[in-house]
Amino acid sequence: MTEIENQIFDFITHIINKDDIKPEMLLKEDLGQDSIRMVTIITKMSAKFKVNIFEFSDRDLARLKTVNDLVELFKNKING
Amino acid sequence: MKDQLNSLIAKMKSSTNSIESYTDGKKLIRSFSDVYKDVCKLHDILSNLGVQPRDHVGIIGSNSYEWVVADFTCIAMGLISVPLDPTVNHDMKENFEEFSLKILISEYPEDYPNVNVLDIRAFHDSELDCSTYQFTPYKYNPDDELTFKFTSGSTQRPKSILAKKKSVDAALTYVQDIFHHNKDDKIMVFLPMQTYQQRYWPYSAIIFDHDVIVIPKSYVFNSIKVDRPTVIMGVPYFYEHLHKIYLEEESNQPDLSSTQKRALFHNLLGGNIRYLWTGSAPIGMETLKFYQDMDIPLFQGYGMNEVCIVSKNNFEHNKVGSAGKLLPGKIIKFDEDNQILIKSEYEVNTTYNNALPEDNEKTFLKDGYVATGDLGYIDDEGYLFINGRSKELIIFSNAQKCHPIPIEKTVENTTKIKHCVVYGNDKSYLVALIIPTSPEVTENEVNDILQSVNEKLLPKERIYKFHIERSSFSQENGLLTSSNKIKRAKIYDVFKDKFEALYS
Repeated sequence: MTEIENQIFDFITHIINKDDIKPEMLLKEDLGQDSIRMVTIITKMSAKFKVNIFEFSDRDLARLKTVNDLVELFKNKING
Repeated sequence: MKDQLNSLIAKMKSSTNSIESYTDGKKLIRSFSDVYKDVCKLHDILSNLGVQPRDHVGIIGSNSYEWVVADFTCIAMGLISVPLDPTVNHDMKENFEEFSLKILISEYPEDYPNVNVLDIRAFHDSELDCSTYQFTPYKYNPDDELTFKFTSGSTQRPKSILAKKKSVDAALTYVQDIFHHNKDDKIMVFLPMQTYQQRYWPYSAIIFDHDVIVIPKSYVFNSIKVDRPTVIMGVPYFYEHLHKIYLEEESNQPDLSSTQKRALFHNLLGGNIRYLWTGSAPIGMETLKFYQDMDIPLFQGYGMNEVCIVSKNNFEHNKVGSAGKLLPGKIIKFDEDNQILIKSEYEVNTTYNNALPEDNEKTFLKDGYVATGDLGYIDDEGYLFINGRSKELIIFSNAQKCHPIPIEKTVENTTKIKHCVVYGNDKSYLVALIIPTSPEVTENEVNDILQSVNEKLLPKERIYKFHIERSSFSQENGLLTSSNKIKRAKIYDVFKDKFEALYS
């Protein structure tokens, strides 16, 4: 993982509040993050990494399956 | 009944009220008189593509300004809209056949290369001179059909019903009569536009002179704070979640006075709320009482696609825990099992569009009533209470019966249980599948909660064994409906082995 990927991953771990999160874990099935919880996570991550949340679409969220998908989504937004 | 929709396009032309939205990350505020210009452009594009009044037109995309323009254009042209869920995969060719689609208006046209598709943003590129473009808005008869409403079937493919114009006129009129929306109001729409009641708000904004903000769900927590709506329509789970977010923030600020706590919660909601609207699924008393204590009116109501809005709490008549008093034009009665039957003066329709004959007969009764499948009663003061689903009656091996929902709600009203699904058809006792609110909740904690709940229940209602499930129910895994109700039959099917193991 790059430094930015590590930062994003660590913040996700902090929000979900679980120590043994792995990148390949499924957000919904393994970590119980339903769609409203996902909106909360995206909101907190957008504030933390200064990403404009209004650039995301509901489809961006619908396509997130794993923790790694979430890391990738934010890495791409941060890198523009 | 007041003719509301036939005046919509004419009123739009001169309306100074606004729609707010976001496009490419930037806030967009447009007066409805400017929206009219975009409707003209899309009208021109669709007319040139050969689209005619009463043609069926698919719309697919996240909530957006463009979605609203597409919907208004359908009304202006007399088209029947077929709104499709953008978060699921579609066999669009099959949809074209099933719904006789002439064209699909899509946020993602590249996804559907094999059908007649138009980019939902196409009107932005039009150079049409709107000041000289003239068209006559389609004139609707009361029984004309406007759009497909999809009902969340518990097991099979969703059924659909075509909404008649008169039912929309009635809902718009009666809702306005009880809430008096006005120029100071800004109503937030974040639930998907493909559910028809969300589209009522842009119509209402034009007809009754208020503003509206339309956003995708992913923006909601930010947008509430930034855009400061006066009214929000949300499902119960959304309000329960807002409550949890508040508790989290409150725990970071110890020693707040009750006034400061109230201010903290009001700020979380943008500080401008007049009232909150909910329905579609049962909401816990704990949540309702929390909002009441915080002086934020949260009004529960009752309705379903087949009958539209039936009852609603409001400022004048509000009983916490009830679904409110009946709206005018709705007649209620109960069958021998206390199932709610509703007759509408201005009915949505009298049949499903794509259901088996027996499904139609079970729901649309010969005497004009619609069998809702929900159980309830009216109290002495005329408030409707919902207390179960008739279709979900559990019948034990000894022929005793129990309603699972009140039991499940009692368990879910405790702090550590997110979902409880009881099981027991043809068995001698109930068992349950339990989904805790977090992975940290232990088996012993669940056991203690159930022991405590069982003490309050009749023997036949008690949960004797349970299985803790660490995965969750979601619309995506097919275990929740689009209104976040559990799909009981599907859950019984998926977890059959777990349930049955509790009897071994």
